[in-house]
Amino acid sequence: MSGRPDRGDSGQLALMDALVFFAISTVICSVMVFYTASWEDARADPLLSSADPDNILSVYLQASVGDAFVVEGVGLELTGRERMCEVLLLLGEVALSGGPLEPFDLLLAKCGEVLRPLCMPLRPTLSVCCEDGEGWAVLVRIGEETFTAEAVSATQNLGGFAEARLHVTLVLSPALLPHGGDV
Amino acid sequence: MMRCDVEGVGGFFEDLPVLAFVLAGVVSVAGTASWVSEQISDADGYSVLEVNASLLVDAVVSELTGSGPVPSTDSVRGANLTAPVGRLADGIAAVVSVWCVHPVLEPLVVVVAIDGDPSVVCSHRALVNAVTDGGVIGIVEVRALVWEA
Repeated sequence: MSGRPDRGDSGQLALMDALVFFAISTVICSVMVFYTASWEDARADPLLSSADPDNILSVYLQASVGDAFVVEGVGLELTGRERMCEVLLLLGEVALSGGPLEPFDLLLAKCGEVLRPLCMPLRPTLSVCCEDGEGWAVLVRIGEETFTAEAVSATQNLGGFAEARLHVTLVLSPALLPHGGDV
Repeated sequence: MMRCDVEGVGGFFEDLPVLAFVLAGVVSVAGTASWVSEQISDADGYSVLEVNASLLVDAVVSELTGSGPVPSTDSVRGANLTAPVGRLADGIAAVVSVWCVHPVLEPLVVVVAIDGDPSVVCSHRALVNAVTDGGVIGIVEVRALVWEA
């Protein structure tokens, strides 16, 4: 018996080479598909990328309330031409001074009613926060506090009150489908 | 006299699985590469549309606000937006709509530059303050829909 391969051995070797070639090509295909899929995932969500929270917040704060309001129990009357930033600053000052916010519920609801259509289809959460050097606290909140990793946000300075700085922060989150709801 | 080459015929059939595996490998690599290049090409096309939509909205906002203070809804309603739409690149169709969204929802301006049916569409929007008749500072939404004609 010689060491020279006969015809049967060459056939098996060729088949083995073809199998190796096919395996390598399969790996190459998998790498290309995985790369494309990860690249697609890394691309920004068009919904979030088209939302500009800075633009929404600045325009919202400069807009008027729109409707006249009489805040019962406080003796406050709004003509409807007051800007949102003035209203939020007032609410922040009331909360900071320890006053009750319940009389302002209708006004807060109106603020949320104006904000939500501007952010559609995203879900907005607007917070008036206080920073006094030692930390910060949320004084007023419009919307639910259910942030997600994909949320985008913007912050603006509202002004100062009693050595504390008031900020307003808008967070836009993708709206979640209701649990058990039909799609 | 013709002779049957038994070994030749046997060799041919032995080589068929080899050929099948090689062909399957080549076809799968070529098909995947084609699919990947198509995906990348689509993404590039969408990026171009995104840039066009953003530029168009910026141009319309500049046209509406100008260099003055907050515009009025009347001036927005009478704005001529054909210039920014006309500056769109060739082969790009667009629809621009300007709506008052606060305090009252109402359409103000709609400009259409349509050429062909939309396939891949990209949209962009921006908000602007505008003074209404009653002196209330309202909110105007500029929305552009852009696609390849």
